[in-house]
Amino acid sequence: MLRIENLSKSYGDKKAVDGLDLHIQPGEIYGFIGHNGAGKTTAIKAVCGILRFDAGEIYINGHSVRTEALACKQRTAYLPDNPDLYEYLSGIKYLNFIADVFSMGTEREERIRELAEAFELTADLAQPISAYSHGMKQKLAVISALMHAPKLLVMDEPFTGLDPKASFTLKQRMRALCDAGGAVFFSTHVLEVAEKLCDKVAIIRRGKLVKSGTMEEVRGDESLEEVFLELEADHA
Amino acid sequence: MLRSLVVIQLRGLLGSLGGRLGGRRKKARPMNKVLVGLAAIYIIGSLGASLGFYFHTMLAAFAPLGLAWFYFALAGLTAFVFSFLGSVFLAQSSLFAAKDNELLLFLPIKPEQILLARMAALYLMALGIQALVLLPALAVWLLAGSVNMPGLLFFVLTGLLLPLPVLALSTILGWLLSILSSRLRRKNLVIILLSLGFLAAYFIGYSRLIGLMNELVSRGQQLAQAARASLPPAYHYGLALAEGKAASFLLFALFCLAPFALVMWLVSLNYVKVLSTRHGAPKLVYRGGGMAVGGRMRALVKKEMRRFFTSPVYLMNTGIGLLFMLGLPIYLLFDKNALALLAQLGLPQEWLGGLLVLAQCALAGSVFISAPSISLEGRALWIVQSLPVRPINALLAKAMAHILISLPPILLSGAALAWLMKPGAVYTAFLLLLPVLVSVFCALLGLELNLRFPKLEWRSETEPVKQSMSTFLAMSLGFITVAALGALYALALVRTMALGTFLLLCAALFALLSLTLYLHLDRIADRAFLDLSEA
Repeated sequence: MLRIENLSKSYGDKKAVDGLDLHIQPGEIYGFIGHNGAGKTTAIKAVCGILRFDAGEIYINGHSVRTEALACKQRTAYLPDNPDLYEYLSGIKYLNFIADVFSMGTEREERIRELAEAFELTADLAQPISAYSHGMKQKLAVISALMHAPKLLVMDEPFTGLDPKASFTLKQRMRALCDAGGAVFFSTHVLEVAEKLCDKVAIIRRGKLVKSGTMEEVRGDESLEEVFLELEADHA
Repeated sequence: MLRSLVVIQLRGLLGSLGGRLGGRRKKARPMNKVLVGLAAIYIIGSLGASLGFYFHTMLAAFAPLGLAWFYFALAGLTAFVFSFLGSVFLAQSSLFAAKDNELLLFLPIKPEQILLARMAALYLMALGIQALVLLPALAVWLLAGSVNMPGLLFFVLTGLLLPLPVLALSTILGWLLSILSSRLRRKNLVIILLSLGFLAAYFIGYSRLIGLMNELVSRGQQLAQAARASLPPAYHYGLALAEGKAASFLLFALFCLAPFALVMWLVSLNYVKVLSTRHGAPKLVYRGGGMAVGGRMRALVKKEMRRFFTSPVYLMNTGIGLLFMLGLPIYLLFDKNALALLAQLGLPQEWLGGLLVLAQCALAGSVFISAPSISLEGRALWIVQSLPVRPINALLAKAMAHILISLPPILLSGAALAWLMKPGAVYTAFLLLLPVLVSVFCALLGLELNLRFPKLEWRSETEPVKQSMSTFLAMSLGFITVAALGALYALALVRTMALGTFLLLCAALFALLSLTLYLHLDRIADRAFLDLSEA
C-alpha cells in the first residue's frame, strides 16, 4: 500500500529525514514513533505530497508520489497535527467541499450523517468552523478524512485534542479501514496507544530509521516504552 | 519582555512587506529587492507630488495673510485624517482580534505589555503615514525660505506626538467595533457597511477637495479664526511650528498625551476581559441539507468566492474598484453637473467613448482579489495541497473567482455607461470587452505575484491583504499598465493611429499578456505550490 524507499529531505544543512525505508502492507496499522524533531512530520508530509523531498521514492498503491501525485492523493487521506481548517465555512460546507473534490455523489449524505453521528458532531455542522473548539475541529478533520473511504490514511498525532469517546471511535474506524483492505500510517507520542493499536511500528531518530517491524519484533519481552527509551539512549 | 514583544510586533509589521516571514526564511531575490524599491519610490513619489501641490497652494494663499500657523494646522489635520483612516480597522484587528491573543494571554506577560507592544506597531504605522503627509508640507515650507530652528525642532517633536491622538481614537472605535461584532451573527455585514460608510465619507470629502481648497484660499482669514476658536490643538500645533512657540508646543503635547493616556488606561483595565469574553451569536443547529453535489473546479471556485464575501477586510480592500465601477454610472446619472461638464468639453463621440473605456479599464485594473488569495490560505494550505487537485487548477480557481466576482460589475456598469453616454456600437463593445480582458490579466498577475511574495504566517487577515508586497504590486501594476497605455496614446500615437485601432491593439496586448502569464503559471505551478510549504 505504501512503500517509502531511501527517502531524504534536508532543510538547509539540517537533514530532517535521512534514507528512510518503510513498507506498509494493506491491512496494517503502522505506528511512527520518534522524539520531537525526529523527522516524523516531514516524512508524513512527503508521503502526502505536500512537501518536496530531495531523494528517494514514495509509492502509494504502486503510484509514485513524485510523478503521479493526483493518483496518490485520490487514494489517500491526510490528517495534520494541527487541524487548521477553512474558518469561514460551516462544518457542513467544508465537508461538502471535500466531497466535491473527491467526486463523491449523493452517497455523501449518508456517509456524512453516519460519521458525524459517530463523532457526535451532527448538531454543530451548521456552525462556522471559526466557532469550533480544537477538539471539534479535529473531529471535523477526521470526518473529512474518512468520508471518501481512502485506501491509505496518514495521520500526524491524530488523538491530540480528541475526547476519550472520539479517540475510541477513531481507533475503531482505523481498524475497520484496515479490515476493508486499507492501511493506516500515523505518528504518535503516546506509546501505549501505539502498543495497543499498531500491527507494526517504526522508530525514527534524527531522520534515520532505528528499528521497525511487528510489535513483537520491536519490543520483544519489554514494553514499547522501554525499547524506545533504550534506543534513545543508545543513539544519544 | 516588553522589548521582545515589541520586536516581534515590529518584525511582523516590517516583514509583512517582504513576504517570507517566519518559518524557514529564504534569502530575498535581487529582483524582489528591486521591485520593493520601485514600489517604495512610486508610492512616495506619487503621494508626495500631489500633496506637495496641495500644500504649495495653501502656503501661497496663507503666508501673505500672516496665517502660516493655519498652513501647518491644515497639514497636521490632513496627516491626522490620513493616518486615522489607515489605522482604524487595523487597530480593531491587531488589538482585539489578533490570532495570537490567546497564546500571549497564556504566557506570563502582563496584559498592559501586550497592549503596549501592539500599540508600538500601530504607532509606527501611523507615524509612517503621517510622515508621508507632513514631509511634503515641510519641504514646501522650507522651499519658501521660512526656516526657524525652534519650528524645525517642534516639527520633529510634534511629529512624534501626533500619532498618539490617532491611536486613541482608532483604539476606541476598534474597541466598539469589536464589542459590536462579537454580539452579531452577521458581523461581517456590519463591518462591510461601516467600511462603506467610512469610504463614502472619504470620497465625498475627496470629491469636494477642489471646492474646499478654493474655499480655504478665498475665505482663509475667516476659516482660520473659526479653527482657532474651535480646534485649539490644531491652532497650537500650527503656532509651534510656524513661530516656534514653546508654550504652544507644550499645550499641543498635552492635547496628544492626555487622551492617549486615558484610552490606554481604560483599555488596559478591560483588555483581558475584552479578549477573553466570547459573547457569541445564538448557536446554529444543523438540521440537514447543505450537501449539493458539484464538480471539483466549481467547489474550488465557490470556496474562493465564499472567502471573499465573508471577509470584510478582503472584500473592501481588494474589490473596491468594483464598487467604484458600479458607482460611476450612478454618479453620472445623478450629478447633472458632471454630465454638463463633459458636454462642455465638446469631445468627439470617439474620445468620449475612449475616456469611458479607459476609466473602466483603470477601475478593473485596481481590483486585486487574486493577489492575496494564496497568502490567505495561511495555515490551512495543507488542505488544498493534500487534495487530489492539480496545483494549476487550485491556482486557476483563485483567478476564476477574481474574474467571476469582477464580471457582473464590469458588464452592468459598462451597459449602464453605454446607455447613459451613447458612445456608439464600437465603443460599447470595447466598454464591455476591454475591462474584462484587463480583469483576466490582473487575476493572473495577482497569482504570479502572490507566488513570488507569499505570506502564509499571519495573525490577522489584514497582513496578507493590506500589508503585503503582492497586493501592493498587483494593485499598482494593474492600474499603471492601463494608465501607461492611456498616456502612450495621448502623448505619442494620437496623430498616427485611430482610437478604435489602438483599443483593439490593447485588447490583443492584454489577451497576449494573460496567455503568457497562464502558460508561465502552468509551467511553474507544481513546483511553486510545493515550495509554499517551505515559504
